[in-house]
Amino acid sequence: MSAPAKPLVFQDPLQNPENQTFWAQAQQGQWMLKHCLACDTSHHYPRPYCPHCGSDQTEWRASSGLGEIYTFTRMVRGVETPYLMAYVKLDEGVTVLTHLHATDWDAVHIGMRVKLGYSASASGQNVPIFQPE
Amino acid sequence: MSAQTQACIAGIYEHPLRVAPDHSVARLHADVAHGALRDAGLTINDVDAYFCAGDAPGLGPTSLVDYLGLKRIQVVQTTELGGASYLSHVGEAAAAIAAGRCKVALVTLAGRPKSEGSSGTKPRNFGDTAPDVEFERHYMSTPLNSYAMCAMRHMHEFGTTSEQLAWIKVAMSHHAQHNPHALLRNVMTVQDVLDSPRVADPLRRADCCVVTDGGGAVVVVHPDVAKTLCQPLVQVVGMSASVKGQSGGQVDLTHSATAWTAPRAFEQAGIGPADIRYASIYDSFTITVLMQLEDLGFCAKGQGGRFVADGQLISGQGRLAVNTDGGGLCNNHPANRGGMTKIIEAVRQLRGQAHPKVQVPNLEFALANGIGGFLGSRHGAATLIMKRV
Repeated sequence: MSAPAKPLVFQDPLQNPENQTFWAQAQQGQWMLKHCLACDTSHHYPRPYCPHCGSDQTEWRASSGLGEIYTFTRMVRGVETPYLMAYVKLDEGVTVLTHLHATDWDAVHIGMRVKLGYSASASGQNVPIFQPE
Repeated sequence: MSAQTQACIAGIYEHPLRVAPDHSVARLHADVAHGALRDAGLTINDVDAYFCAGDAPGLGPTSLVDYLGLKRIQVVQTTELGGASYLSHVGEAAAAIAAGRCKVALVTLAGRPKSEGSSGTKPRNFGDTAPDVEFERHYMSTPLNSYAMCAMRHMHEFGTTSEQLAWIKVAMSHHAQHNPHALLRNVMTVQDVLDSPRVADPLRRADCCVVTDGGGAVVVVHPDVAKTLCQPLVQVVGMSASVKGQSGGQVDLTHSATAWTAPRAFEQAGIGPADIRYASIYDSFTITVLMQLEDLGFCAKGQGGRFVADGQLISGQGRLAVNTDGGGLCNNHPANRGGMTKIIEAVRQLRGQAHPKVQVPNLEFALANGIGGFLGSRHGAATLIMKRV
C-alpha cells in the first residue's frame, strides 16, 4: 500500500496561551517537550504542573526529533484521505501521538526509526509529523 | 458495603429500539426509567436518588429530574467515565444506600447516535477546553484508530492474531441469534470477520461494535425495599473505578485501568476470577474484550488470544460465557456507551432470565466490566460484581 497522492491537510491546531512556545518552535522545526526540574523527567502533552511529581518547576526543552514507532495504524476507511497515525517514542523517553508520512506504507512497522518532519495546516501552522529516518 | 445494607439491583430495562429517529433523547431516558421501575415494581414516586452521565441532555440531572417528575431526590450523581459510567453509578448508588442517604436509586442512559450519523471513524467532540485537544484534535483521534493502535501493539508484544480477535465477534454473534432485538443476528464465522473490510488495521469492520439508538436503566435499592419486591435478589458486592491515560508520555497500551479496578472489586466481593462463570465484558471492539479478560485475571497478560479462541466465550460451549445478549458487537451499543447493557445482561443471567439458549445455570456471581473513552489515549474503567441471594 502506498501513500495517498495528496496527503491530508490538518485542521489548524487549537493553541492555548501557555503552549505558545510549543507552536512557535514547531514552526521553526522543533518538537518541544516540557521538562520538570524537580524530578528531572520530561512529559507530553505539555502542562505547567509536572504530571509525574506535581511540581510547577517545568521548562521547555527541545527534543532531538528522533525516535521509534511504538504503535501505529493505517486509517483507510470512513475518511476522505487515508492517513497513518502513530505513537512515536522519542529518544528522550517520551511517547507522543502523531502522524507518519511514508512513501511505502507496507514498510512501516513497530520499532522503525523515525525523524521529525512537518506538515502545514490549512492556515500554514507547521504540525509536527514523523517520517522514516 | 456491610451485609446488612448490601444494596440490590431490583429493576432493569433495555430499550427494544435500535433505531429511534422519532424519539427525543429525553423521551428515551423516560422510556427506560419507567421500564426499569416497572420491572422492579416501583414508580417514579419511590425514587430518591438519580444518576446519569454525559449522554443526558441539557444540564444532566438538573434537566432530567425535572423532566421525569422525580420529587424526592436526595442524592444526585453524574460520574462521567464514558461508557463505563453506569457501572460506577451502581456502585456509588450502593454506597449511598449503605450510608443511609437514599433507598431507591435510578440510573438511566439513552441516546440516538444511529439517527444522528455517528461513526467510530469520526473524531468525537468533547469541546475545545479538554487539555489534550490542542495536541490531538488535528491528528483526528477517533475510536477506531485509538483502539486499533492498542491492537497493533498487543499483536506485536504477544503474538495475538486477527483470527483470535475474530473469535470474540463470532461468540457474540452466536449469542445474538437468540436475541430478537439484536441489530445483527446472523451467526458469523472467523472467515466472515476476516473478510470484512479493514478500517484501521489491524481492525476490520466486524471487529467494531454496532452504532444504535436506545438506552437502558437500572434501579438500585436498599435491601429492605428489595425484599418487598418481586424480582430475584441481586446484590451489589463489589465495584471499583479508575482512569488511565498517557501517563504524561509514559505510554503503555498493553493494559487498561481494569488491571487496577478488578483486584479491588474482587477483594470487596471476597471472590476471584475462578468464581465467575458469566461476565459482561465491554465490547466496543474485539481488542477491548481481549485486554479486559487479561486485566480481570481470567488469563495471564498476553494470553487473551488463546483464551478467546475456538469458541471459548460461547455460552454452554466455552470456558467463560461472555455477553449472552450479543454484546455491543452484535446487539446494542446505545448512545455509544455500552456499560448499561453490560449490567442488564449480567442481572438477567443472575435472575435466570437470560434466553434459555444462553442461560448459564445456577449462577451465584456475575461480573460486568466497562471501558469508557479511548483505550489508546485516556479511558475510564469500572468493574462491578453482583451476587444472587
